[in-house]
Amino acid sequence: MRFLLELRQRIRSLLRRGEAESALDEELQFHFDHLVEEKVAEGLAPGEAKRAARVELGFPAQIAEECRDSWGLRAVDEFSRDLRLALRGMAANPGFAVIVATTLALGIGVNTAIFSLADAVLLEALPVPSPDELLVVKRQDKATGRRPGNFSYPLYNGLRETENVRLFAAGYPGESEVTFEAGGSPERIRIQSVTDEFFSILGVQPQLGRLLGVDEEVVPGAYPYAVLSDRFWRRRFAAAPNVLGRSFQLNDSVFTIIGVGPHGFESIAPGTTADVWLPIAMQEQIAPGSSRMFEQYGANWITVMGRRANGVSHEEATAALDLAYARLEASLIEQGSPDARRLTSQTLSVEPGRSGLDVVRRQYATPLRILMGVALLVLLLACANVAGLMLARAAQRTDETVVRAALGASRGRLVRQWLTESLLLAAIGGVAGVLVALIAGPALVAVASIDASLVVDTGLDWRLLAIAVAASACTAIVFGIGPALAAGRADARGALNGVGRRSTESKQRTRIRSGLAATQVAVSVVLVFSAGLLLQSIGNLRNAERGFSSSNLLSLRTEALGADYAFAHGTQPTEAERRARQERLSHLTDRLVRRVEATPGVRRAVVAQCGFYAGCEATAGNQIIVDGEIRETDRQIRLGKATAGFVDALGMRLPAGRDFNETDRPGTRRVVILNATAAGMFFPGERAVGRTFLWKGGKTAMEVVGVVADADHDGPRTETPPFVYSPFAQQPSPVLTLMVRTDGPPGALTQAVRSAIAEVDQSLNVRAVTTISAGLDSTIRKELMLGRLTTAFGALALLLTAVGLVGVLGYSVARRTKEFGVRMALGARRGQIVAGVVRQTTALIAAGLVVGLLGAWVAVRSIESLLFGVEPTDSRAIVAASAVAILLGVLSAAFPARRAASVDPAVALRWE
Amino acid sequence: MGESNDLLQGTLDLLILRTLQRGARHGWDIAQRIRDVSDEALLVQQGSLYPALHRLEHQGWIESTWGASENKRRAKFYSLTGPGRKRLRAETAKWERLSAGVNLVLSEG
Repeated sequence: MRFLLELRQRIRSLLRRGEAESALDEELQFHFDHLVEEKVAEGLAPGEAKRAARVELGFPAQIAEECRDSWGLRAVDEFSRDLRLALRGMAANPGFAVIVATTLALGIGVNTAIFSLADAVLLEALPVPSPDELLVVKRQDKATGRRPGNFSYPLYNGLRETENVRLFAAGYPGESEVTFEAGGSPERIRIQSVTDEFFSILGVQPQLGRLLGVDEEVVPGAYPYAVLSDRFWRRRFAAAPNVLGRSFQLNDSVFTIIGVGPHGFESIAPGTTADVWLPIAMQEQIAPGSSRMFEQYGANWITVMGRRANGVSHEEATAALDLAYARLEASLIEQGSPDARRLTSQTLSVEPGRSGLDVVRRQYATPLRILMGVALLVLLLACANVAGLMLARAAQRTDETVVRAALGASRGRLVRQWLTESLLLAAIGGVAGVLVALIAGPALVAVASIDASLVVDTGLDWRLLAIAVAASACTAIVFGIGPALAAGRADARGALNGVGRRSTESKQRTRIRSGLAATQVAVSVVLVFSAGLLLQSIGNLRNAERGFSSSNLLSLRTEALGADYAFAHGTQPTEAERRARQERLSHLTDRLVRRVEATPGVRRAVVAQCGFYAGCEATAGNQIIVDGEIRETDRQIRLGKATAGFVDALGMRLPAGRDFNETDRPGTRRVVILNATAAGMFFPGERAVGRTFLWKGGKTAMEVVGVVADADHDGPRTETPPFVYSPFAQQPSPVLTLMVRTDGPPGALTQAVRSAIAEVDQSLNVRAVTTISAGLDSTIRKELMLGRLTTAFGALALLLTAVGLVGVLGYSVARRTKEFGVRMALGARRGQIVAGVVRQTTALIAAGLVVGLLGAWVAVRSIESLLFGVEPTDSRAIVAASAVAILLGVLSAAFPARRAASVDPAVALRWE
Repeated sequence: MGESNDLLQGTLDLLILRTLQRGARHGWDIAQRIRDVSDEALLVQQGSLYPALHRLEHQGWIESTWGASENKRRAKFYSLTGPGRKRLRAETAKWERLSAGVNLVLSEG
């Protein structure tokens, strides 16, 4: 109650400010007049009396101040006055305010953006209830131990009845073109097909409408419903609630929007997102020709997650799934199904699913952790910059502070004023930082994601922003009020004597400022050095020897899933059926090559199973039989398949033997080409061409007709495995990768080649279209992301450092103007003055460079695993970093040096 | 100017309240009254008087009205409020206890 009364009084006095002020004046005047009267009565002359009264009464302003104090207005009063003063100061010296605020904004913005990005990718737990109960089900290859994340639908279906575990599946997210209005232009959106229990098992609730229900899966093609993601709903429909019931066309089907997912739920793989979820029952409508994948154990196109029942441990759930798997395997063996061997060759790997699928995290975790470190360095740099500038400014204002202290401003009062200024700057920097983060966030994702592999919500994380703002504000405050505290301590009289004689300043402060500037140089050197190493690595990775010619090479993956290329479902194909399919597939590849080569702008075309950097080839264990005895290779053998003339068309080197040609047909002698690694492992020290071998357990002998140099299939970081290439005609597969050598830029021919493929066979769906250089880049995403961002941050660091150095050096020159004037008046030459300034800078840069190189030596350890073909002590990077630091020094010294040189002694002596 | 005679902390409040017991007075009058009654032993400086008056008013122990002074000028008159009277009694009792104690100490052989 009392508090309320007081508040009311304070507000009232605030409102009746002017009235109260004049009343106070009148009251004090009344007292003064009485005192004068009394003095006159005592016999003093009126003038004399007034003076005596004034002396006796003391400083009226101070009394008034103390009276006002008791009104409880002082705090408000002083704050608004401080604010006015601070604003006036900023207006008088806008350069300083702009630089400090910009520096803070960049430091805060970059940190918030990077940490938000990292937060989204390194997400600890999916935003669903009880994420600890979730699990991820993967397959594990018994022979290699590899755990591919993809799963086949029949296998998933066979495990669904497992006790105590509820499973759900999702297709791989893909981009498709849809139209929302009849006749409207198509938009590319990210689509993910999910099973009926996807949302209910995850425990996700709709924020609008309903999610896909339990019966949606039952009849294929009968449930054209769609659920929008929150993010897509906001972006595309501005969060309009009337979106329910609208529809869009995808391929030949129309889907109706029935609901919107909850805010914050992006996908089950942090770092990726879906725009629209569709029932998996509509897979045929989403990707025509794909419905067969529901029956094939060999088609691994879904990812499987699950939730264990309440009270069931992860181990119990794993055991239950293993049991279900064993039962499924046993029943397939019993039926004599050809798929039994698929199950036998692998087992299940059940992993905790708390943080979802790690597809993106695996790729980006290391670079993101490093980038967080880099961002912190940038923040450190920004803080050092602000600290240096604040100190310079404080020194500049020593006189002002001393005068104010002498006039009776208390130390607390001074500190408060400096605090207000610092806080104002920090606040402006913080607001600008939010803007930078908002702009930088999407830009960072754009730079970071190579071929759109990374899709995250870069919505600001306010907690992170708060931390960054707090860090910057602390710097501004500590370095802002430190000098005020020192000034408050100073003996006002002594300092007053020094006003106007600021030729030199305290050694301690100079040392702190130089230290800060040197720190900035050091941090820049670390960043530039790291960026140099990373860029060099990227160059090395891109230019690494590949064993084939990668220029102007386009790759298109298609799948021959039409009825012509498939066996009748449910029965074992007869030998005749096999042969007929082989003929049809090999005929298809012949027609494809001929038709595509006839396209203007195409030089050569060849069909392989996978091409380069796709990694979809089958493996064939690590044993072969030569002359009746087993030979073992130390790595899994990969099986390549390619049409006639592929060695020549792909520009591979053929040290021995011949290329495939038209005589390698179905039914003729089985031939293979080995890569150099395979040849060395199969026939060590022997001539491979002309030899024959069998697969272990196989009956058909294969003759080696050629040996090619190793070609890079998995990226320059991976040692090429042993490859056995077979003629496509003898070993056809429904997965075809068309490799097209073009005359000009390969991307330009995409459409022409697509239509050529469609002309050959309408049922072929073209899936992954990429140039080989893009394919290579996809194998070095981490390096590209880290390299690009570190370079960007390095540039930012240089900019900040340059600003800081110019500020600090420029200030120190301005401060010494009088000294320079005196020295020149005494006969010093301009050259000497300039040399002095340059020497000061040189010392600073040299110290920063040495510390920076030492720091780089330590920092480089964290990026060592991402370097390629570069030593961490690479001399070129050292030279580059040093050159940059020196250039930085020269440039930032040039400006103040010129100013020092242009000092006119006559003016300088009258300085102040 | 009299010799320095810093009033004991809190004593000024007591003196002001006591001076106002007999009716409203303005600032100058309060200072004169304290000086006269104390035989010029206690001199209240304007610098401490007015902040004290404003503080007491803010605390609700005295209230002020504008009226005409003896020489017909507009002046601010202070007077005791109900809580102010209670406060005066409490402060007086406290002071008597305190001064009696001090006297005892001083008169001890």
